[in-house]
Formats: sequence, structure tokens, C-alpha cells
Amino acid sequence: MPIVNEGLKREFEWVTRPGEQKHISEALDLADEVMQEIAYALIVGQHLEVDRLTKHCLDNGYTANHILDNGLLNGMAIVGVKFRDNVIFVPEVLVAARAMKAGMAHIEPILSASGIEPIGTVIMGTVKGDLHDIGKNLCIMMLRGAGWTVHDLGVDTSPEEFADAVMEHEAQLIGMSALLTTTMPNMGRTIAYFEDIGLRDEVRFMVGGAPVTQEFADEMGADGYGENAVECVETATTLLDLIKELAA
Amino acid sequence: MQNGHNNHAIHAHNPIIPAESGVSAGGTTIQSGDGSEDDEPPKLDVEAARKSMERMANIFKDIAQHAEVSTLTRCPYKDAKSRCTAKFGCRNQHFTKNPIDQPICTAKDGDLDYRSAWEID
Repeated sequence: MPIVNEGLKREFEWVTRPGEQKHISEALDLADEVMQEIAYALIVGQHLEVDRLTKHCLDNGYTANHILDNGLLNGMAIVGVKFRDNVIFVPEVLVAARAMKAGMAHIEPILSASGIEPIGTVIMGTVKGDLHDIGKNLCIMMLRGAGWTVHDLGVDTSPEEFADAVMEHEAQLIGMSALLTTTMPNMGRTIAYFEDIGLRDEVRFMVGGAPVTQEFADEMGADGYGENAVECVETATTLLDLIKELAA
Repeated sequence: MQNGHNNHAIHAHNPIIPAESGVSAGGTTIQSGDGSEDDEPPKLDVEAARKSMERMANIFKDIAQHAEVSTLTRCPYKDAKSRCTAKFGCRNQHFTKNPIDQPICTAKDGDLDYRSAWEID
């Protein structure tokens, strides 16, 4: 059906490349009014609305496939175009990603029940003393997009908080981020804390952040290093494979 | 944002259904909201869902790659309205008279050294 949602209509105007226009417009043809509402709410980052609409649709007979494709992903595709074309920036993308997560919270149990399990579980946090979170948030967005379950501990995360989260969520992987040279050593301290409490062998650590290098990661005893959000997913996958190999 | 995956999963039915009906547009019984009438999990086209997840991963990958480039010249905490979203202090933050407003970012895009303005204590 044509785009009837006024907000979405305006958002779609940002899609100007002919190939993309065709691709997204064909996808939107399959989106009825409520799917268009979901797509629009996601684009503008209304996570509560995405949450409500997704639940409402599932309760009323829409398939998870339909909602995922025609509501959530159509919205996210437009977010991607707007970001690439510098209409919106990282903060707006992260707000949209939060809305995506709100919708996926209802879809994921259905995926799991059908055998599409999360790839793994990761605990993510910026280390103690550090309030910089945007790199970590981009990593979380990427990990979730790639099918991981992520528990975000936010910023200024103490070693004890990392340990508590590992035990609570039975995670085997921790991602630590630091932006400051002054807080980078807290990554090593966190790893040391896990050694002290006898949990070091239970988890693998991956680290990242602007001043962090592979050498520094090796020095502090981390198991993996990612230079950016894309590498973060690759590192997480490699470490999980390693965990599985060791378990087998 | 071409990623080669289109919508595959649409089993044509008109999904505008009254919440009370418990019947899809095609006339088949659907799971009710509280699951009391039908304990079966909602149906899912697994193969289509896998492709959708792949499409999602591709969208996020494109976004992350562009973020890598854009943050070289524009502070990632600066939003589209030039407001600062950082939870920490920065010399480029300009606070308005309204204390609940987010500060304005006064840095020009293209400043390669915006990080030096971030307060680190």
C-alpha cells in the first residue's frame, strides 16, 4: 500500500538515490498502516511506542516475520540512509537502535522458540572512572544487530559490577571500553579482580576504545581487542568459537 | 543501503484485525494476547527470519562503518540539532539559561581535535 503515515512520508523523502528509493519503496508497499507507524516510531526513536505497537501487533495476529521486515527493518533502513547522508548523527542513530531493541524484545522470544537462538551473551561496560560511552554503544548496537544478547552496564563500571553481571546472566564474554589513558589501566584491574575471585577462567575479555591498542590489550591480559564496532563483533565471534572449542 | 535482501516473509493476509476477535483476516485462529486460548508458540518462517536477521546485521554494519568515518571530523556526541549528548564535561559545551536544556555544542564540524576539549577528570 502507499505510504499513508504522514511522518513516514516525510522521512521517506530523505531517501533520494533511485536504487534505494525503489528498494525501500517496494518494501514499504508491503507495510500496512500499523507497520508504517512502527517504522516511523523507530526512525524518530520513540522506543515506548515501538514497544507498544510491536506487542499490540503480535497480540493481534501479525507474524514476527511481518513485523520485523515491514515495521522494524524498514524503519532502520531509512535510519541508515539518513545517517549516511548526514541528516542525522550518532546520537539519533543510537536512539533509533534503542527503539529497535524495544521491538526486538518481543520478537526475540519467538525467534528463540523457533530455534533461532542468540549467538551468545556479552556483558558490556565502560570501565570505572570513565564516562565515555558512545563507542561502547555503537559496539552494542552492532552486537545486537548481529544476533547477540547484550547486557549493558553503562559507564563507570566497577570490577564488582562486571563480576555480578557475569554471574547473573551466565555470560562467558565481557567487553570493556575506555577512552582515557587514565582509565585504561582499570581494564587490567578488572581482569585481575576476576583472577582474585576465581572467575577468570570462566570468561573471556575483549577490550576497545580510542587509546587502546592490541599491544596494550595483550599486556593487560585481555583475550581479544577490537579497533571498532565491526571488529568488536568479529572479536566476540572468535572468542565464542574459542570457548566452544575449549568446552568440546 | 542496498543489501540484497528484500522482504521475503510476508504471508499475505490483511493484518488489521480487531484485538478482540482472535481471528486473523484469513479466518484462522490466532494466539490470543494472553496466550490462554492457545499454548502453541506463534508461527515463524525460520528461513525468512534468518534472512531478516542478516539484513539487520548488514544495516548495522553500514551504520558502524559510516560512524568510523564521520567521527573523524565530527564529535559523536553532537546530535543533529548541535546539542551535546555527552554525560561528561567538554569545553565546547554551551549551557543555555534553561537548566534542563542539553548544552549546545560550539565545536565546528571538521575539528579533528574535538577530543582535546573533553574533560577527563
